[in-house]
Amino acid sequence: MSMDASAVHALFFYFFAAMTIVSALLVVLLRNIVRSAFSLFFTLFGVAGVYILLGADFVGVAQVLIYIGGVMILIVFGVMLTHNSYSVDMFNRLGTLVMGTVSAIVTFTIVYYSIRQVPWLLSGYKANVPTTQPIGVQLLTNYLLPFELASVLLVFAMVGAAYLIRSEVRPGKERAGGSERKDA
Amino acid sequence: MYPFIEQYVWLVPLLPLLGAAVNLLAGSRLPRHAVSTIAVGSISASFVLTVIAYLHIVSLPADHRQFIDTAYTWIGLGGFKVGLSFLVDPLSVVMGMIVSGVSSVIHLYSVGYMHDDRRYSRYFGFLNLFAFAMLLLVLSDSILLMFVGWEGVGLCSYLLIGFWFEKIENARAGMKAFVVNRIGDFGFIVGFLLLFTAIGIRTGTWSLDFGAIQSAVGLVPTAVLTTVGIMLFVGATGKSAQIPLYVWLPDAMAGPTPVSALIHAATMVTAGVYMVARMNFLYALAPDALRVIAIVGALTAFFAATIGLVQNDIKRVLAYSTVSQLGYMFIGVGVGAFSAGIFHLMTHAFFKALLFLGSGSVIHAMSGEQDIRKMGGLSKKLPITTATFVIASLAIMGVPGFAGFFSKDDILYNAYTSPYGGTFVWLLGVLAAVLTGFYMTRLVVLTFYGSSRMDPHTAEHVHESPKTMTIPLIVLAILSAIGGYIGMPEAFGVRNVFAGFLGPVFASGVRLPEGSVPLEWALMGVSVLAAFSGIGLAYYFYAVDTELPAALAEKYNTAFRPAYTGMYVDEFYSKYIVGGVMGLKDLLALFDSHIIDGAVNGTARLGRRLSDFEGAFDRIVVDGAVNAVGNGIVSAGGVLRRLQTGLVQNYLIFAIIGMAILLSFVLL
Amino acid sequence: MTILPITLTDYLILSGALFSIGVFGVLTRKNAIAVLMGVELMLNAANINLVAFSKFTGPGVDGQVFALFSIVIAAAEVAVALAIVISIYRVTRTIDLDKEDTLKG
Repeated sequence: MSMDASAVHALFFYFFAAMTIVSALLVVLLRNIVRSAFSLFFTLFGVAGVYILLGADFVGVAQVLIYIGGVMILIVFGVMLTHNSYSVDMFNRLGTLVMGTVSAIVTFTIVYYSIRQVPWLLSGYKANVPTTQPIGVQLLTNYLLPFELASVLLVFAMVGAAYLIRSEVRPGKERAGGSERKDA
Repeated sequence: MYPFIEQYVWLVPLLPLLGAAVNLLAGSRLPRHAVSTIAVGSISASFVLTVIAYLHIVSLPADHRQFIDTAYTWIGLGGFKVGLSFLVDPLSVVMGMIVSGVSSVIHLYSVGYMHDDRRYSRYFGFLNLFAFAMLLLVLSDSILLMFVGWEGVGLCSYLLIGFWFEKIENARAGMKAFVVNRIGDFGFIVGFLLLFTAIGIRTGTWSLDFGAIQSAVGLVPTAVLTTVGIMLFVGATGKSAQIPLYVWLPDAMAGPTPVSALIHAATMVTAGVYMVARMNFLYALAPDALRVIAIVGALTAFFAATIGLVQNDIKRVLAYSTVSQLGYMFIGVGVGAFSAGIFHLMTHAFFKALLFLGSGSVIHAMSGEQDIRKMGGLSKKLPITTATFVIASLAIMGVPGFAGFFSKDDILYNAYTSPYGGTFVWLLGVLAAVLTGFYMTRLVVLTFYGSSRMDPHTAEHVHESPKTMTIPLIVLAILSAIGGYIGMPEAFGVRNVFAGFLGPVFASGVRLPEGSVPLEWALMGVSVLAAFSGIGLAYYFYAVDTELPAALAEKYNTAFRPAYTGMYVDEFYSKYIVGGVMGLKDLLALFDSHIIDGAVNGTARLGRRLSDFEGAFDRIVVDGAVNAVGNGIVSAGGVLRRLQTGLVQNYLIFAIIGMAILLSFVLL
Repeated sequence: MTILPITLTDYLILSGALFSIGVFGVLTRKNAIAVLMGVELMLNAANINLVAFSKFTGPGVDGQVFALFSIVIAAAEVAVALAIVISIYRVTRTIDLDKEDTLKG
């Protein structure tokens, strides 16, 4: 890798890292939950950029599709469905705030020192190659069982989620139809 | 002969599992004949496969009769691997044939017996699930997989004992069986984990496969092996109903009768015997553990038979008889005569299953009546049931020529000659044989012969059972009559085919002394005499002088009463063990109400006082001292209780603090 | 000024920082959905680790496959978690975590 390419790589890294960290801070600090949610959008995008920088093009695209396309939408829906709650104070009592800050700093310190202390056994930086095909091969050979299990898990999650938020049907009373919900 | 079976052993347990899955998930929507076809078909197919495996094993040369079929790697952690692998050798194939064969017959019988039940498909689902777990237990190649089956059969036993859970006693009986089994399982877990560790730290191979254990077991000191052997046997006492954990088995008769026949007579309760035989290479190096097994077995055989003498419920007599016969099997494996123990296991599976199915046929005919004092004279109306029941009784009593005679004689002979047995064990065995003759004759005479004591309404409805029930009876009766001839003693001048077939499995096991023909004849004579004296005595009491038993019971009331109630063992357990736990509970409740609550109040007071420190210094010193003395330790409890705020985030903070502490230990 | 090449350590520190921010969010937010967002940040931090190790150590793409599984499971997790939040909201009419203390001892 020439010095030039390395510098460009570094610049891109700092750009995506800054985007990720700043927007993540906004996610946890903003008082309005809708703004938090939009900030999370940028964080997830920054992480996708980091994946691409790491040569993981397929994972980066999956991040965009699943996280930004799916998870974000779900969260925004969650915010809307619990709408009268966004007026509640976003932050806890002062005590918890202090404890949270201390915990986060302690966590980061520990992680930082362990990263610095461990002599990582590196096999060197691998050149960027397309990863979609090797991932596909892995998924259908070595990881076939986990792959199938993941699909089963998704079905269960879908059924479970639908079950949890279905409208209650109480025996003996009128059947709650799709539109009329007793408690809403 | 059929080498393909070496890759398809996994089908044997899988088929009943599939049957169970279909019947439990969709059975309520299927027609009844489909449910029973699936259930009977799947277990029969397993039986056929097991027979094929047997034929294949036999066609191999005698010292290569073993193969392992690994279907899947279940756990693979670095060097530690547990495969979903099945071991087929003479021992497991014999057990596999007994389990799947008797299961098939009992499945078929259940079709008739459970015909009118509301939860028909659930019953067959559970029965298939049981067959799966039992076959897994028998065919597994590692202790861990065996333990899966071990727990599985316990679960199915619980489900089936409490099958008619509308009656609270049935549900309680299921619970009791489960809890007592758990106590034994605890010993089993401790045993095999201790063995795992002991072998692992000495050889560096961490494995639970039987083969690996067998090759490494010699490196472990005898004291450890004895402990392991006894802990594993604790598991066996739970599963196989030995002293002191046998109390669940008589109550387990609350389940449907075919279940009693399958689980609580023929298969599950013999799992402990099979386990000891499977671990023979370990017990060969732990002679003290073997002695313990032999003595516990002998005591159980005798003790349970005494209780069986006076029971009036037809199934409870058979239940105590099962406990007693299991004692015999443990005498067999305990004195190192593993093949004799397995031989008795097999013949017992035939005749005890037959006895239970016969009693089921009687109960069916009597519209649910189980008290033998209200039966009598049934032989005319139930000819097939009577004939088969009598054959089974002759077998269990050890009348020469029937299956039980050969196996019981094999055990008693070995008990006398083996270095781990001795006269005491042998004598208890012979006394138990006298008692067996007595209680079985009593049962047969009171149930089938003499004058009828039925109430007229029931008597009208007495009828022979349908074909699906009588065919299994006949099949088992034939096996009970001739099943013993494959293991005839050497004294008859023939080879003991059964022992010869199992021989390679136990080759590394205990060396027993060479047989002596005259001694064998003499001991055989004693046990035959014992059986006939029991039979004769009971015949005199219940068929000739029918007034005598009642008079004797009247006269020696104090001696009889304990036996009626099962020697008060249940009462003892509930008073001293359950009572002890309950006492502890009361103590803790007192602790809660006085000390914990006091502590909470104390801390609250303390906090308030700190705030108006100046104004109430005197009171603080006085009361504070009182509180500090009174609630010294327990205020800590109060503080800890306050940590339970119910807020998730607080819990997470504790988790992070804990993680930080742990990680800083690693890093610093 | 020369820019140092980016190594594994830099990625790991980025991931650690993101994780700590997530921890902060989970611990301090009162709104249950905001707490979920904190959890998402922590999951993403873990994924960065997986992909980075896959890049810098060993042959093969195992780390990326794991990251994919992790993303899939995260999606399932969010679906179920939001369903739980919404059903709690139906019962208690609030998603203020300070009021959900039925586990209080």
